[in-house]
This record gives sequence, structure tokens and C-alpha cells, in this order.
Amino acid sequence: MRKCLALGLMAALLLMACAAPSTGSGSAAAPAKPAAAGAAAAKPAQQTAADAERAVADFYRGKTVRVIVGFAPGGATDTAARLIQQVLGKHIPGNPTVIIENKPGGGSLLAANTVYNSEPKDGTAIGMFSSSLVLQQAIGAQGVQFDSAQYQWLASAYGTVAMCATRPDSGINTIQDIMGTGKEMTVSSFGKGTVSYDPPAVLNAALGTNFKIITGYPGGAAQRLAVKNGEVQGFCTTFETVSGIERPMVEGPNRVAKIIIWAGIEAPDDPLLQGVPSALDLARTDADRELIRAMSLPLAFNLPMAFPPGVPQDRVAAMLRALEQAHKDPDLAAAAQQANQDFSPLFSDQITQVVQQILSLSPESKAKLKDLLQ
Amino acid sequence: MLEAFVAGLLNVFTVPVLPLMLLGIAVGFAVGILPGIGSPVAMALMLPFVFGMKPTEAFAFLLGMYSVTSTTGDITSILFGVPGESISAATIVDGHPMAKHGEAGRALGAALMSSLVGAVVGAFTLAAAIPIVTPLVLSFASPEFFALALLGITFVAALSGGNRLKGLVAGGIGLVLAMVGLDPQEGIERYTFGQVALWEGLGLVPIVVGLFAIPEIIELWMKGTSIAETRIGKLGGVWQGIKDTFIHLGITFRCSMIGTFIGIIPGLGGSVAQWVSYAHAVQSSPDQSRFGQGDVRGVLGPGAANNSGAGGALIPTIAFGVPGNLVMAILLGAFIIHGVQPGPDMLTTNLPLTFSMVWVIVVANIVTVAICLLFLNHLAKITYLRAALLIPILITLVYLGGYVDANSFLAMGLALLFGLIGMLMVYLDWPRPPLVLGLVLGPLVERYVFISYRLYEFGFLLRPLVVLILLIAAAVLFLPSLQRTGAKWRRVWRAG
Repeated sequence: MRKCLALGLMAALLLMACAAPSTGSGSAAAPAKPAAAGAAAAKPAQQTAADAERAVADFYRGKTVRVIVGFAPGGATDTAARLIQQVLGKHIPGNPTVIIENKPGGGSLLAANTVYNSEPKDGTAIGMFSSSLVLQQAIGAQGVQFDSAQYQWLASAYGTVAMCATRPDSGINTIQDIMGTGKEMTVSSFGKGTVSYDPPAVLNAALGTNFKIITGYPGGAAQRLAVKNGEVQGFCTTFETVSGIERPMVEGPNRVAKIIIWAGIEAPDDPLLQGVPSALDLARTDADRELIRAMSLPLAFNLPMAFPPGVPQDRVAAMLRALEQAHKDPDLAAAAQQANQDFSPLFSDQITQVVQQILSLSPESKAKLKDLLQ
Repeated sequence: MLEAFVAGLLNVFTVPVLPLMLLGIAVGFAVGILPGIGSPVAMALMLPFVFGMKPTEAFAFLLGMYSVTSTTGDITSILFGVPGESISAATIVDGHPMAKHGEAGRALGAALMSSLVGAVVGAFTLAAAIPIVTPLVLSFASPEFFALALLGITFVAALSGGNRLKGLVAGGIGLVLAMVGLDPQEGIERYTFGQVALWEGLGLVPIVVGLFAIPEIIELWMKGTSIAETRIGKLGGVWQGIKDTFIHLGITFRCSMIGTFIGIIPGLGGSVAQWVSYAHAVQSSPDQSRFGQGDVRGVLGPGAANNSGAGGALIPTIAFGVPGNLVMAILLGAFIIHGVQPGPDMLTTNLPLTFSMVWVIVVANIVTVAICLLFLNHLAKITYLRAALLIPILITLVYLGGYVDANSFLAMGLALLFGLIGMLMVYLDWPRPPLVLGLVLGPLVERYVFISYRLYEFGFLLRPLVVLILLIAAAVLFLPSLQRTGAKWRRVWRAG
């Protein structure tokens, strides 16, 4: 009987040790190398740079950096985060252990709020969440408890555009078929504020298309299953989804759908988009174009990583350099290729610029978008 | 087909695959035996390690872990009344009373053996169903999901024990609780009290843990004795439980089939399967008086369905990329990492890989059951431990389980709140399973009735499959009372 108790206690202790880093687990980082002390560094400027680097390395050595991902483990989003996590540690001065911590909720709003308000501001907690939250802030959506202008943006995972596809057997073959013809096209959606809802809603307002958005599907996969089983006539999502994991839906012998429109600033270089009209080209007024641009801007810096305000500048700079190097790492390239993921990151200032564009939309556009997307 | 079936089996026994599966089993065992902490946590913890593996190895590792936790989840349900997994809560209803009567060994034996039968039956059903899986899944659209969820709700009556009215009200409360969160159509906040953490609704794990485990722990504390109130010698042993599985083979077999098919349908999954099969076990038994008090048939049903559903749940995941639960979502992550494309190919050209996954589930179950049988009688002795020794460990684990489910302290608060509600329900003699069933099915009913109406208006009620499922629901609901009335009239007729 004593044995049982001891066993139970041991198990409990083991569990606590495991559960401490919650749902993540670290990739074993290589033992830290002391930063090369430049004995010959005579120039004061060089010396300060080396000192700063050493200070950052001293801080991170032996520590754990948590990437707080706003989505559940598994699936494309979490996997992209984990691919980066695998290589990130070795590029940060001091080689800390990097782990993923999943904090799903509110389409990653919970993670964005928590990192901004209550996670440590010493550079050991990085937020990774949906870029569309910036637009949510701009239009004054409910529940937003952060200011995107204050977030210290590091690097996004990829940039993409929005697109809509139809089942040709539904009788709809081009976007013109549902523009001013009285014909309606049902599209499946997993909720407002997502890529399954915002593009068709904005296109309805800007181009006069007639998408009938059916909300309530429990997620992206269920949304696309509704297209495969013919329940709806089409769907809208990011081009990244269709060019990656769902490519067989639009290409090859088992294809069921055809892309009829894309919306964004720049078309990705992919044969799938050849001859497909751009929403910006079809728009007639500047106001309409601004709506479409506003909806697609967040897609330019998908899955951004960011430090909350207050993290010291030298650590922000070091983390930024680490992410730049990580994205050049051949190990990441190989893993990304195997996983069919196409990283095309934007970094710090580039992201801040897009964020500013979103936050400084005209009051009319903001009001209109709030009306459409809330 | 048969070649792929055999090739898949042989694949499991190749060298890096088998040891990795055994490692997965060991990890799953260590985590799964701890109450409240389930396979999603274990798998998320282990996900970083699959980066370096080949696809078959990664799936063997993860699925080995998963298969064990659905079995070990039953163990904690029976021993402590604490569900090890949200999919093993139904095992508590009869399993834990058995442990209290000193029949822990018998209940464990029954749960393990039915798990094994479930896994094997599930694998073979799946193999036989592969040719029809694609059309089967594609023929289920939102109206059919709605009808199925409604059918599930009709089982509330069978889960109500003696008091149908209380059962119906508890089921209704479950449906109301399911409304917490953003509504799936317009994204309007309902009963969230400004908490973003509540937008996705109430977590199933903290509620189930609170509802079932906390009243048990408090009761144990108040009594100050051990879990088992009486000692039964040989009769309560493991062998009896194993024999029970084959004495009631009909129930075990049918519940295995229920588990597999509910698993195949995307969106339903294990949380529904366990309750439906429990309800089936109750309804199909001529003598229902002992259910809820410690009837071994109430252990066999959910035990079998849990493990057969594991194989079934693979199908929507691999063939359509629609994960049925969090574990399958994590498995999809492993798919992406290894560049394996979920899709129809998994049922044709990649069939050996699919079958190797199914076989991993079967073999892992056999290994687990074999290991468990070795020390099950010792495990059952935990129920004779003094309460003072058990309670601190149980409470810690219960709250840890609540926390790690969503990395949120709110979940711990929820577990506590539902612990109080659970105690109140026990005190007032209200059945708890209907509440859980309402909570699980509420979102499905709501979601699909709105989608169906928006797409087809009321025409969705006339689709052939919907009509068929609704007729079955009507039969489930009214047949027992019709039979009773019929019997009464026959008696009156004879007497007259």
C-alpha cells in the first residue's frame, strides 16, 4: 500500500515538472557559448556594441523564451509557429530554450490581450496571433484590450491575399455571374472577423457581388468540407490555404472548385491565379478600393510575432536579428518545404508601416467596415 | 484492400516503429493515469519530438500515446470517479459505484477487456467500411448533423436513471450552458461577462471534472474512510470483469460499432459516442434497475465505444482534414510537419499508411491491456487507501487538469463552480449525465439547425436521411412507453 502511495506521489511530481511549461516543450538548445569577448576591440563604438550583445546574451542564457500562440495545438497556424520555434533558439544570443505555449480563444484575441497586458515585459514572452486583430482594433471591435501601435512588431510568417472559389457545377463560373445578375452564391464561413467572412462581406459592399454568407461552420476544414459535399456553392479563404494544403481542391483530377476572384495588393506568383480577376481592378470608386485594401492589408503580415511594449530595445533588436537569421536558416527552409509551408516574412518596420496604414484608415471606411464585419 | 490491411499490420512491427510506439505507450500511460490530464496535453507536450521522425514513426508514437490514454482514462474514472479524459466520463456512472462496492477489480477488468474488443472491432469495421467511407461522409451535410445531434439528445431519457423529469431538466440546463460564448452565427457575446476566455464557450474538461470528481472527493473526505466501502474477495476480481465482457458480448459489440460510426461522422466524436453507447447499454437491457448503482454493463458500453471510436475518428481527419477532436487536430499538425496530405488519397494510394495507423491503435490497446492486467489487482487496492492520503493528490491533479486544458485560471474556477453544482445535484438526487450530454450536443444542434435553415429553409426536414434519423429518434423516445402501454393493454385484454 505504501508503494502505491509513493508511486502516486512520484507520478504527481513528475507531472508537475512536465506541466510547468504547460502545453509546450522546448527544443533542446545547444549549450550556451560565451559571447566572443573582443579583446582587440579598440574602438569604443565596437566595444559598446559588443557590450550590448553580451548583456543580451547574459540575460537570455539559461532562460526560457515562450512563444504564446493564440491557436490550439495542431493545424496549420500552430505548425508554422513550431517550425520557427525549432530553429529560433540557436539564433538568439545566449541560446535560450524556446517553447510554444498555446493559448487559444477568441480567434487569438485572448493571446493578444494577455501578452500585451499581463505577460512579463523582459523579452521572455512573445505573442503570435492573427494580424486581422489590428483591423479589429481599428474599427473599434469588442474585446480588444491592446494598442497595435504600441506592440513591438518582430516578424510575420507569410503574406498572402484573399480569394473566393466556386463549384462550377453550381452554375456559377465567374465573379460576373453574381454581379448584378440577381444570382446568389452561398459560401460557407466560420465566423465574422475571419478570412471566410470578411472578403465576401466586403466584396458585396464594394463590388455589388451577391455572396450569401452561411456562418456557423466550426473551422476551416469544416468550411471546405461543406464545399466538397456540395452543401454550399463556394468559399472564401486565404490564397495560402488553397495553394498549400488544399491545392487538390482547385487543381488536378479531384478538383471540385475554381478560383473566381482574388483580393489584395499584389498577386502571388502562382499559375492558379492566372486569368483570375483582381477585386481592386473591378472596383469603380476610390472608396470601394479603400474598403478592399483595408480588408486585405492584414493578410500582408500573417501570423506576426510581437513583443509587448516595455521590452528593452537591445533585446527587441537582438530578437529581430535572431528571427531574420532563423528565416534564412537552411534547416527551416528544409522543414518548411517538407511541410508545404511557404514563409514570406515581413520584419519590424515593414509590419509597423502596414499597421499604421490600417490604423489611419478614413473614419468613413472604419465606420463602413464596422458595419460590415461586426 | 486486404493487402493494404496486412501491409499496415506488418508496418507496425518494423524496427523504429515498434519501439517508438512502445515509448508513446509509456508516456501516454504516465500522463493518462493521472486524473484530469488527458491525451491532448500529453500529445501537445510531445509534438516537438515528432519533427525528427519519419511519418509512420511519428504516427505510431502519437497514436500509441493516444490509444493508451483512452484506456487509462477509464481506470481513473473507475477508481476515483475522476475522468481521466473527457471521453471517459460515462465510465464513472457505473464504474465508480462498483469500486465503492469493492468491485474495482471487476470494473477495471471489464473496462480493459471491452476497450480491447472495441479497438479490434473498430479496426475491422473500419477496414470493411473503407470503400463506402467517402460517399458516407459526403452524404452527411448540416441537416443530417442536426438530425444526429437531435437523436443524441433523445438519449437523455435513458441517462436519467429513475427520474425522467429531472433528467429532462438537467439536459435542458446542459443545453443552456452550451449557449455560453460567441454565438456561431453573428458572433454576439452570450453570458460571457466581458471575459474573452469565455468566447469559445465553457470547457468540457473543467465541467466534467468538477461535476463528477469534486463531489466524490468531498464525499470521500467527509466519510474519512477508503473509496471502497466493502471488501469482496475473489468475486470483485479482474477475471470476473473479463468474463463479463464476453457474457454481455452483444452490448460490447454493438457499442463498439456505435463508437466507430460516431467516430467516422465528422463533428460528433468520442464525447458523444460514450454517452450514446451508455444509453444504448441501458435501453437494450431488460433489467435496468442496477444502472447507476454499479452495473457492469454500464462500464462495458462506454469502455468499448471509446476505443473503437479512436479508429473511426481517424477517417474524417485523414480523408477530409476535419479533426474530430483536439487529439486529431494535433495529429493533423504531425501530418503537415511531415508533408503528408490529408485527402481522398489516404483511402486509396496511401491506404497502407492509413491501415498502419489503425493497427497501431489495435496493437497499442493489446499491449496496454496486457500491461494493465499484470498489476490491475494491485491498482484496485488503491481503493482501500485511507482517504487522508488520497485527497491531497486528487485535488491537486483535478485543478492541474482544469488549468492545463486551456492554460487558464478561469478553467480552475469553472471546475470549482461545477464541483458545487455537482454536489448540489448529488444531494438533491439529480442525474448528472443528461447535463453533460446537453452541453456536448447543444452547440451541434444550434450550429446545424441555423445552417440548415439558411441553406434550405424548412425543406431540410424532408431530406431522406434526415427523415430516417428523426424516425429513429422518435422510436428511441416513444417505443419504451408504447411497449409498456401495449403490455398493459394486453394484460387488461387477457383479464377482461
